[in-house]
Amino acid sequence: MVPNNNLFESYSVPEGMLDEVYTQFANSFPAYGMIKDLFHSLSQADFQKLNEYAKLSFLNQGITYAVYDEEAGGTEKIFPFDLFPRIIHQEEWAKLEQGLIQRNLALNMFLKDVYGQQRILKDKVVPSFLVETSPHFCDMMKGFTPVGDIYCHICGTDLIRNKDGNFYVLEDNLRCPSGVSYVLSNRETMRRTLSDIFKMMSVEAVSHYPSMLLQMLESVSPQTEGEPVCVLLTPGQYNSAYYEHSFLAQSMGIDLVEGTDLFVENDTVYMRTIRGPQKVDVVYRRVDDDFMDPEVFRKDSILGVKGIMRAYLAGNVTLVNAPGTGVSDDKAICSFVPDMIRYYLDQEPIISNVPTYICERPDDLKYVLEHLPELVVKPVDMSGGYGVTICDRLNQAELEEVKQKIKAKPRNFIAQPKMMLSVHSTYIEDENCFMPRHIDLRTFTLMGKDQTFVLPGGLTRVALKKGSLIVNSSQGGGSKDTWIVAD
Amino acid sequence: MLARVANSLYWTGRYIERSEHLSRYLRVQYFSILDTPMSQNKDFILKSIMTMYGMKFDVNEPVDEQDVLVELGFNAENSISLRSTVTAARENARSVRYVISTELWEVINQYFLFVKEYNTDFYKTRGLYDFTISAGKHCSIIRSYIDHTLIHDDIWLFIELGIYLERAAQIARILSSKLHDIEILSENGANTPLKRYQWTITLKVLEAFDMHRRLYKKPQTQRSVFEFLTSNSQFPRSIAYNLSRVHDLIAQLNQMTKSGDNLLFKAGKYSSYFQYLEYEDVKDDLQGFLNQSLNHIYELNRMIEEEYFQS
Repeated sequence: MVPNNNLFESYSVPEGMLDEVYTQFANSFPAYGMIKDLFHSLSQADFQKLNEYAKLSFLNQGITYAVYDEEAGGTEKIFPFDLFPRIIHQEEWAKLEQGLIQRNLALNMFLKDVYGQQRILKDKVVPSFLVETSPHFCDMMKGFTPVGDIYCHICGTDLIRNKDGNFYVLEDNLRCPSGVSYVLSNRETMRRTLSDIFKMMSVEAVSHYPSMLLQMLESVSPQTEGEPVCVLLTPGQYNSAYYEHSFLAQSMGIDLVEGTDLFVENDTVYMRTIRGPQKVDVVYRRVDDDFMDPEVFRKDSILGVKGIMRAYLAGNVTLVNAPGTGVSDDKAICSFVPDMIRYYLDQEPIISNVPTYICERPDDLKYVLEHLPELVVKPVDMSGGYGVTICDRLNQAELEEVKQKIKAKPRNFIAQPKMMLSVHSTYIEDENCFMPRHIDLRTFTLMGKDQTFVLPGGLTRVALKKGSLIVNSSQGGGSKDTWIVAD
Repeated sequence: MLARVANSLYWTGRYIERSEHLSRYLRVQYFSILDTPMSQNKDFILKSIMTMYGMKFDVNEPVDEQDVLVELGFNAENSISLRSTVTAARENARSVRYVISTELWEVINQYFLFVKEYNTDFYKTRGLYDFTISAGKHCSIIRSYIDHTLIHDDIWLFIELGIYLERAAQIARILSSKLHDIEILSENGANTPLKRYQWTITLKVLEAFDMHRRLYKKPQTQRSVFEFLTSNSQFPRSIAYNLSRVHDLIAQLNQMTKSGDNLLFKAGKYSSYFQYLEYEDVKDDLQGFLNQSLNHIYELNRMIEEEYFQS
């Protein structure tokens, strides 16, 4: 087909990288050609119009995040969205899905264990000093078992595809993983803008996520009689993820509450309604542990609910996720998930971890200090891509500085070999053409009482800056609709 | 329903309604400059607009037309500006969007984006008509989505309550502001046609001119305009009509929430007062009457807050 535009004219796959659209590899998706043909069939102007239309669709839906300190009144920006979908073949996905469920089962058993008998520590499979020194370990959870033995009800696991064509786990997010609303609104925008593609291939739906989420929340209610009252607790409308909180509450048909809407009496949580107090059974909280209850955590928190931990430990309300789950998204502990899978499930891990060096271990520390230029150094408890240091870009003085930082507090750091994330064709507005850009995949796994669910696909995040490996939205990242397609 | 949510729904209704009256008053007053009897009075008209918005100014200092227009239309720092009012409506709606329809949220958000992105230079020179007319259309669309995409339960009731209470207050404010204009014109020795023309403007500000003519079949007088806009129970831009709606809405809420009867009683009392109002009773002190009317409306607002929002 002769293209009607030069959107792909200067496209070239960078040396030594895996391009999911252009490179042939074991799991490459064969039918990307259909999508390129569609883009080729458009005139340059028509493509730009589509791109503008997609942006307008986000703006009108109010899917924006606030940027402060600009002109008076504040500016709202949309999270950049790319029209070229990322496609994963159903067969490959089925394996990933199994791998994610396996991983979550093990993580959940690990949490039950560390807050219970601590067998895995006594058997020295996971070093106990890592757990004891984790800032996210929650003493109050010791000896308490949540409804259905579920701790990590919602888990966001980040996967990357390496040069070898395989997916690896980069990290798990077990506190308040966000981004799922973008999966749903990306799909909605794709359907509004490029509806013809959906006629060409059958894409697995994602729209049932809110009902699966609600089903999961209801399944962990401490109340067995009557319809459980579930609410979503948000820090408020100035939180950067407020759109998502509001979207999820609306699509589940549950109340979106702020800390001041709730109060605790007789170890029971109530919300203030126009008809007086109403009892609450399940709180899907998008507020971090630290801010959740000024009675036991940070005293200065105005986002939380005083006494909610008392109500929780009395078994009168379920918190989703459980307090203290952060201990297993500590990046040092995360590296032991394959061992947890072997230990608890007696299985081999289906998805491998990115190899991780734990600086607290003397041998690992030595290796890290000697091989620093080949490594990526990360703080163990940061998210959002903050604090990540890619060492091959540093000069001698900067390397020395990183070494000193690690040596001062080895427990705070891990290091991983620099994994070359796969690239994907991405429209770059300034250049007015498609270019290869690095991507990853955030997946979403739900675990309720006797049920697990993995959202088909997830959120493909793309680093829009040339050569950048950091995909987080706070650092110049965008996203793509992610399709699971059987032939 | 959460008490905070009820509060935000109510204020969404109030701010949407307020923004519509602000933009209409701005347009009708401003364009009256182009009509012969008023052409000599630009400064006077701009000050009338500032009075109605509630903006402080020095009566003896002349004002700059473009400054006033931009200040009242677009100054995001000034809480009385149209832009701030629309932003407040949208922020309230944003905090309750999970209980309203996506379609309603999107039209409110589009209204906000329209105001926020309007070209100020165009507005100052030739865009005022387009801007204010479009603002009114946005409000009509929003009201239509309120009526046609929501369940008419307590969520809808609180938005409606905000709309009608705000409208009653705005009618009283507009009347008061125009009465004030006439007093100033009288002091300056203006002729009768010029004073009568103020009542034409008042009717046009409330889009009531044609209906007034159909009902009274003769030129407007102070008396006919006052009667029509305060005590006509069939005209949606009269105080009596709106307080009667407020009373109905509170009665419905009362049934749903089994709340106390004090608020319902007061709403009924004030609603009846306007239904049975006679011009003769108030004509000696119209400004005092309008002030008292506003106090009644503010008292209802305070009681609504106590009854529903402070649980």
